[in-house]
Amino acid sequence: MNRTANIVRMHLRNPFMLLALPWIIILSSFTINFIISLFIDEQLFTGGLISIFIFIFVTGIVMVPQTFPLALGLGSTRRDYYIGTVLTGALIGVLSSVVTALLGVVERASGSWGTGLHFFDLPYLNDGSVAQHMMLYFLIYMLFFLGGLAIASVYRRFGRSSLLTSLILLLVVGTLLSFLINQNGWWSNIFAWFASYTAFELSLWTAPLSLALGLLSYLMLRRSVV
Amino acid sequence: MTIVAQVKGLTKRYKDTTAVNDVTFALEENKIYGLLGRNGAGKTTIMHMLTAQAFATSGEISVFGEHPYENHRVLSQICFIKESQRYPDAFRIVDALAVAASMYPNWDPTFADELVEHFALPRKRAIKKLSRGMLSSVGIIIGLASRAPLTIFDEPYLGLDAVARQMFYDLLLEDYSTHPRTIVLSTHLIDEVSRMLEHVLVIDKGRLIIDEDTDTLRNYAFTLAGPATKVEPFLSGRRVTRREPFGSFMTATVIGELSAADRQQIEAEGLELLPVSLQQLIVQLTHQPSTPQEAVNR
Repeated sequence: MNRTANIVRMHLRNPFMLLALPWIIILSSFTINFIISLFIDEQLFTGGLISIFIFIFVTGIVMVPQTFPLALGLGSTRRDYYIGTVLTGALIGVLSSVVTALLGVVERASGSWGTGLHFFDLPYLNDGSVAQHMMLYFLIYMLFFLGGLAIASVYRRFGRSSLLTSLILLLVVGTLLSFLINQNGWWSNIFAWFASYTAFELSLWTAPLSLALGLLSYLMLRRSVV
Repeated sequence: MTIVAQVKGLTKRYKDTTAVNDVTFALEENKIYGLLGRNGAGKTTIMHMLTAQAFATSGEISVFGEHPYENHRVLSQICFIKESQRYPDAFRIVDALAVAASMYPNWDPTFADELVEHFALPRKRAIKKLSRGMLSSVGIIIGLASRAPLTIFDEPYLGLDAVARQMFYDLLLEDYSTHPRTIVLSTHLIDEVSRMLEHVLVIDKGRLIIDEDTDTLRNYAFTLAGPATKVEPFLSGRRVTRREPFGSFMTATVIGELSAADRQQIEAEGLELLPVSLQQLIVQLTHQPSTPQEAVNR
C-alpha cells in the first residue's frame, strides 16, 4: 500500500499538469462562453465540458513515458507502478467528477448564470440526480484516462510502429463495422437502442470497456523494459 | 562470504545480434566490483537484466536469493544509477531526491543534503535544465544516499571534471567504510578507479573474459622489453597480446604468471620487465585485432 502511495505521490509532484491545468482550460472555456452568452438573447448550450475529458485522455498518454523510466529506475515493480498510476487517475477522476457535478448544481441554482449559459448542466446528459452525474462523469473520465494509458502502454511495450499498426487495424475494423451496419440498415436500431437509455445508463456501459483497457495496459506494462 | 547476486549462462539476443553471451558470475557481499569493457560490450545490458529492467533471453538470475522481476523485496535493495536515466520534464532536483527517498528503505536524508552541498547543486532547478555534469551528480547523490545493499553505478561521472570525479571516489570510499555494501562500478576510466576495485569483471563482445580479484590481476600479465632477438624466443608458446618492434628492440605484453625460472632467464638475458596497468591490460585484451598478423598472435 505504501509502495502504491509512493507512486501516487511521484505523479502528484507535478500538480500543475494534473490538477491545475485542466481547470485553467475549463475555466477559460467557461469565461469565453459566458461573455458570449452576455451578448445573445437565446439560451447558449456549449460542449466546452468535453475539454476536461480530452485533457485526461492526453494525461493518460503522457504519464507513462514521463514517469515509468524513473519509477523502474528507482526500483519500483511494474505492478506497483501500474496500480499507483491508475489510482492517481482515479483520484483526480473523483475530484473532477465531484467538482463538475457541483458546478452543475450551482449552474442550475443560479438560473444558468443569469445569462442562459448551459455549460455544466446540459439537457439529457444531466437528467438524473447529482449523485448520478458524479458517477457518470467519473465513468467517462476513467474511460478516457484508461484509453490514454492503454495507448501509452502499447507504445511502451512494442514501440511506435506497433502502435501505429494497431491504431490502423482499429480504424479498419471500425470502417468495416460501419460499412456492415450501413449495408444492413442497422443504424436506426442502434440509435433506437441508445435513445432507449438515459445518459447515466449508457455511461454504465463504459465500465467493461474501461476495465478491458485497464487490463490491456497492465499486461503491456508488465512486459515493458526501460 | 555471502553471495548477493549471481547470474548463470546469462544471454541476451536481439534480432541479429547477441548482446550478452553466456555470462556467469557472482557478486559477494560488501565488495567493490569493476564491470569493465568497451562501449557496446554488453555491460549496461547485463545490469539492466540484473535489475529486471530488461528481460534475459536465457540464463538464470538471482539477487539476494531470488529473481528480481516484480520482486519488491529484491528491487528495494538495489540502486542502479545509469547514465541514461530519464526524469519527468517537470521534475526539479528536490523532486527526484524526494521520490528516491521514498523508494529506498535505507535512504539517509542528512547524507543526501550533505552531498547536495558537496556537489553545489541548485535544489530547485529543473532537471531538464541541468548541465551534463550536474545531471550526473544527481545520480551519484541518489546512488550514495540510497545506501542500497547492492549499488550499481553505470558510467556515473559523464560531464564531471577530474575534481568532481575524485570527490565522488572519495565520498564513495568514505561512505563504504562506514556503511559497507556491494558496489559495482561500470566505467571507461579504468586507471582512475583501479585502486578502489577489489574484483574485476571484464566484458568483451558480450562475453565475460576476466573474473578475477584485482590482486590476482596484478600478476596477470607483464610487459617485456629488450632486443628483439632476445625477446622473441621468450614469447614462443605464450599468449602475446601486443608486440611492438622498434628498430632492433621489441616491447611485448604477455599474459600469464612468471615462474621463478622465467624470472631468472629474464634477468640473465638483461631484459626489462614491466608491470601492466589494469587499463593497459583491458585495452589489449579487448581491442579489435587490426591486422591479420596481430590476429594470429592472439
